[in-house]
Amino acid sequence: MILLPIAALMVGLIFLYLRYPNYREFELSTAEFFPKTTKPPATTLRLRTLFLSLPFYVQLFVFILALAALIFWLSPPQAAEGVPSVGVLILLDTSASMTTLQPMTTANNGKTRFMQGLTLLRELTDHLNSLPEDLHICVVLERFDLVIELVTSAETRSEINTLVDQASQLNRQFEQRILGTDLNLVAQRIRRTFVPPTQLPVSEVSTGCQFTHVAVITDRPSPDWVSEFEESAHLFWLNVGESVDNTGIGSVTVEGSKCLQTDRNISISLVSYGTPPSNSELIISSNDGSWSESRPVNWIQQSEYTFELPASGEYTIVLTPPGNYLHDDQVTIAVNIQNQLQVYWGMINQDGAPLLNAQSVTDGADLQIIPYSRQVDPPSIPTLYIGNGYQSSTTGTVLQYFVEDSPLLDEINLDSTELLHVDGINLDLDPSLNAILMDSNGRALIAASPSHAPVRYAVIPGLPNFGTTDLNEFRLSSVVFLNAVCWVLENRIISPLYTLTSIEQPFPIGTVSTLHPDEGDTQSIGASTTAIQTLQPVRAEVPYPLWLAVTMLVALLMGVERLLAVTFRSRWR
Amino acid sequence: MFAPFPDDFFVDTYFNAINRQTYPLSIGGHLHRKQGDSLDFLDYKLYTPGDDIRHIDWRVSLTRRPIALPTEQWIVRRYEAEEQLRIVISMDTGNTMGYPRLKSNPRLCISKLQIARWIIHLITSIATRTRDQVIVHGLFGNTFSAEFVSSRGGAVGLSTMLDQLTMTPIMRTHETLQLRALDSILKPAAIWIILSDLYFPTSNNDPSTDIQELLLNRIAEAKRNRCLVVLIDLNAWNYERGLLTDAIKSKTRAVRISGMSTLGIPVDNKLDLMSNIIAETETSIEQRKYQFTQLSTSYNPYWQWDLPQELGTLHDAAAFFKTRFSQDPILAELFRKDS
Repeated sequence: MILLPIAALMVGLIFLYLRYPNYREFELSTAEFFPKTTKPPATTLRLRTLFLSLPFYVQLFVFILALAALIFWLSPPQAAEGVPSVGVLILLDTSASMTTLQPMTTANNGKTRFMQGLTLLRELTDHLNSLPEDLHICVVLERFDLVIELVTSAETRSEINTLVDQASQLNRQFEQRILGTDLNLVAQRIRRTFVPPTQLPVSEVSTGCQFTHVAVITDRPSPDWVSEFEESAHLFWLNVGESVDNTGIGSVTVEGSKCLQTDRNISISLVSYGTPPSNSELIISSNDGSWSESRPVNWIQQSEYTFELPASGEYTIVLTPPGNYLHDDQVTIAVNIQNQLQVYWGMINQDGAPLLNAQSVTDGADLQIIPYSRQVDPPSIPTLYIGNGYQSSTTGTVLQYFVEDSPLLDEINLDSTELLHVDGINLDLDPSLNAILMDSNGRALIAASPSHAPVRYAVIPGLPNFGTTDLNEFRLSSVVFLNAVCWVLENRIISPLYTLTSIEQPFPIGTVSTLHPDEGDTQSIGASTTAIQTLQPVRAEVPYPLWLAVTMLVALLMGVERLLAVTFRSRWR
Repeated sequence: MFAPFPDDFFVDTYFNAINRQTYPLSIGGHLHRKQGDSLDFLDYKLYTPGDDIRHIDWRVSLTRRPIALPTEQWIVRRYEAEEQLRIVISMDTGNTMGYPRLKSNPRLCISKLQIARWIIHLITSIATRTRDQVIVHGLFGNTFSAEFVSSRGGAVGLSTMLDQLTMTPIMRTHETLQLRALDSILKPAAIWIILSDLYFPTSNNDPSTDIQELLLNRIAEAKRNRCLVVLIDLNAWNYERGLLTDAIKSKTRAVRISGMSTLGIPVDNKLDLMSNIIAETETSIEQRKYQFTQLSTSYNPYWQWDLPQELGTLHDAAAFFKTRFSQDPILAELFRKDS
């Protein structure tokens, strides 16, 4: 669409020149004295005027150049081969696993993997400094764990020499920051680095260090996506991991629903990499010191251990002796053991009762489950209203509206919901209810009280249908039921046993632990993909804004053309 | 848009050049066309309308009269006196006075009108110093237009007057010819300066509507009233002829001439044709002006200003103006003390 105006201007220019008279005009005061024998030249369209006019060709050329400039501007920027240079992006792994001690059997005995990484970094900077003096070198050092952060950058040889010292400062941060590893971020960073500048939007073309190489210093084996960059051979995956034995706590779990936890048993999963020690022992003790229990660990026969806890509270689990990776040997958990749920069943059908592991009572119930009868009054205790149930149907239900982040819809497949027929409720009769899931007739399939109501209540289509042969109906009815029970029983929802360190809370404290998956895997190691010494200068493609050059040429030609027009006036046409 | 007077210092330069000495607060001390009231007798002259009847020497008239006593034979005594000069400048604002036009900068028009404005400006500046009267009169116009732009009070409203006169070109017809306005301002013994290119249309059929005829008659009448008539012919033919000649040299295939009429001339390899046309045109112009050039006498000068071919810029025009003005003896004589 942008080209149309320029094309129209070109056509207009041609027409203008066709219209140009093939004579020069003079305005003279003596015009009336001239003989009247000749007629004025006509101003008809003349091809001759067009083809013999130098200004026409100049102006047409300017238009064509302007058109070309516009096309170049809309196209990705062209690339020109730059001078040989080295621009290195160094991604240094600072995740928790980098604190793993190297095996005693190697020369790196006593060092952590991070310190080994610094050695590699020193080799890399030494190699860069050994390159020719007149070579332009720039280095950007970034760290990564769960995020990628800039550490420093260097553009001179002296600055490059300080890189290792600056990176070694990060070693101290392991006392305050123990995080996992997100290699997806690394992959994204590398892909973006290797995108040719010509394929980047103009606004995103970096004006800083033009990267020609990426070096990743990590203890993780090179992922499959590294092969994407094999052709370019400019990605150095420098692995500092050495195989070492380690044992640790993998995870701690508890049985039961998040709102119906009544089990006192927790399950501890242990992990072992390499040769485990024979004298391992798992100790769990309450933080208040009132209870403690320990068991020897048999690594060959058993990896999960279950403990029955005496009461709610915080417990600390310790695996001894510690492995070479220290951050998976201890975890603190918080356990909230609920009393058995007391339910008042206000309907004969009590399907779903086994799911609740509840005690049926008439007084003092924690939850009442009663049929929905057109209208509800705000109840005094958490209440679940049950509709007419689910029916298999060829017509199904067409959904129109749902609350995307509602916990009442957790784990629900809305596509399977449309396969069932559900009698929705008319919310016009119940203004206190909010629709969570609504069909195309405007009837609510699932509705709930406002979440800030003093006592929560919800309406669902039916109880879990244990009698159906339709797996979809069975699953859907059960999940909707349990979601609704947990939602109305908001006070019984328990917190996770523990959480993992994060950017917001990078250091383990309380129930925040460092049991990041795979961080303790000290056996999964790989070799470096490329030797540092193979890093050589390359001629990087630099974006070349051809549109700008053409635009300048257009401006120059226009200026010359206008100058000629001013100088020669009417003769310049 | 017209350019201002290019060089205000030129007035001083001009004064020095003509060795002029001014006398503030005194009446003009220069060329006198009117008898004075002093007792210094100068000579006799024949009576002309407008003479003060009190100066008629009845006795001499009576003794010298031949047979009858026609008024032409009255004898008037002349006295030596210095009197204030009245200069009436009739400015032609007809269509052709707007040429030549500077196409490279149309807003700045170095035209005959521009030169005329500068002439008026300069004469007015001088007259202001000598405390003479200057009246600017529009020779053509839809209404009568004449104003004092210089009097004993100094120059007043000249630019405004000129802007009004030159705002729009006027068609030259006998109806727009404003000669009657002169009756009240062109006093006997005044100096009447006519600024024009003299391209007045002719009408052979009816002398009463022929502009040339009407103007020639008025000039004759002015002369009878002892007015000094100065014809300044602002002639751009040389300039315009140069344009055409350049066109021929630059291999222009044809020229289109527009102005008061529009016509085209093929030029391609037809140099002779173009030369003939130019010669024929030049003859037509000379014929048109012939009667005016014949008026030229030592006391009623015809002053031709030929605009040069090099009139390409404002600077060129200003240089031409100052040189041409300095070279001409008529106005210098007019303002010279001893004249």
